Amino acid sequence: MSCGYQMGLLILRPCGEPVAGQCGSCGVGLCAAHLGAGECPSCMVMRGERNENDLTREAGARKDYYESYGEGAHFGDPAYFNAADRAALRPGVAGFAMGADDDNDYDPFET
Amino acid sequence: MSAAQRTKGFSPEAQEAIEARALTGAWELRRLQRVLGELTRFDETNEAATRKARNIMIWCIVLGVVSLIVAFVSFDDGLMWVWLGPVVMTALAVLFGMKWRGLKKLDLIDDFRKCLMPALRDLAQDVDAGKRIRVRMDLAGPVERKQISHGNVDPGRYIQVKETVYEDPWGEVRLPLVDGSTATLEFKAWWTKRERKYRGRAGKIKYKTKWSKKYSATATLLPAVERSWDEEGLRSRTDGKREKAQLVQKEGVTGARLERHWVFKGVGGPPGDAPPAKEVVGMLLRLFGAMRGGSEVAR
Repeated sequence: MSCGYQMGLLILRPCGEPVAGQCGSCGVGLCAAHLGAGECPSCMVMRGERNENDLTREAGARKDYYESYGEGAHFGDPAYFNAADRAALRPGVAGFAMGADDDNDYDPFET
Repeated sequence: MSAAQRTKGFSPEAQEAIEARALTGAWELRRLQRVLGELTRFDETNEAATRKARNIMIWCIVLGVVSLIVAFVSFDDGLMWVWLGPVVMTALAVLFGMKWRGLKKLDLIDDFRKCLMPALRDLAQDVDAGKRIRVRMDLAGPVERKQISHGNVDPGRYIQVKETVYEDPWGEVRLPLVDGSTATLEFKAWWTKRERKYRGRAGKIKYKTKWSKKYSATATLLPAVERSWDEEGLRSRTDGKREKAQLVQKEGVTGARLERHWVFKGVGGPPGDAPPAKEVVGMLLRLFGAMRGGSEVAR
């Protein structure tokens, strides 16, 4: 048996190391590195413990990306990327105004 | 604290990068992250020291003017020592002005720490630890050698508008990934400085400087072996107003490229904004999503 924890952000792949135990929440077989405190990093993130270690931070970042870019669909699913992509990209570019005229801003302290 | 004191304890690579205001070469991921962390620490402390020197200089000018007025008022009383105040304040203002200029010359652009470092942290789990990341970074920002145009432009309602444009392809990072594919991130900024001369409401001649920073980030994904792409799918996932997707032939394989644009603005000094790392990593996520059959490792 090999560790079934899914690693990666762009390239999802199972860890593949020898199993040392099972995740107490989802039951997947885990290696010593991913077993941690008896749960896989993904389950720990689901419980809100995303700053426990590097693995939970990575799993937390992946959850954020996948949820904002794919409405929770699994990476690789045909439904993964959709109209939500564009919606998710918009909030960060509020200042976007290529070529816009910015002459009308009055500054009382200008010299 | 001097520049040498601020880099004390830094790795030789970081010290060299600070001096050259550039970072190049082939790096192991952890080593690259460590050096970028050191550059971040330097840049943050240097920015704080620059602000402090400027503020002290301004206070010295203000106090110099006040003490000059006091000296004129007290002159009739025969108090010669009151002239000491303006002299000392002028000397201090010059000293801190020189310090401010010196510190500004050491400044690194913020883009590497605001955009590239968080993106690298998120992508770290997919980088092949056995291979090296090729990096070319110019951290000097808008300096004279990058100037591509300078001159007066149509002033519109102003008396005169002088425009200077700097082209700054500041960064290129080539990431070898665990499935054998290669992801490349390229960053290019165009800094525009507009110095306006105009007449204020009271009829006085006034000056104002505004900056804008147009930005493009390009993500390219080259698979390890020839793969087919869902080109239509990729195009449907791009934002036509600020993104462009295309397939590219490079290094014997068909890859995909996504380019995205931003604009940032600043008054007085160059804007320190950079593209959000999430949007840059999001471009690579979409490129991977358009590769038919997924990655080699995932299969």
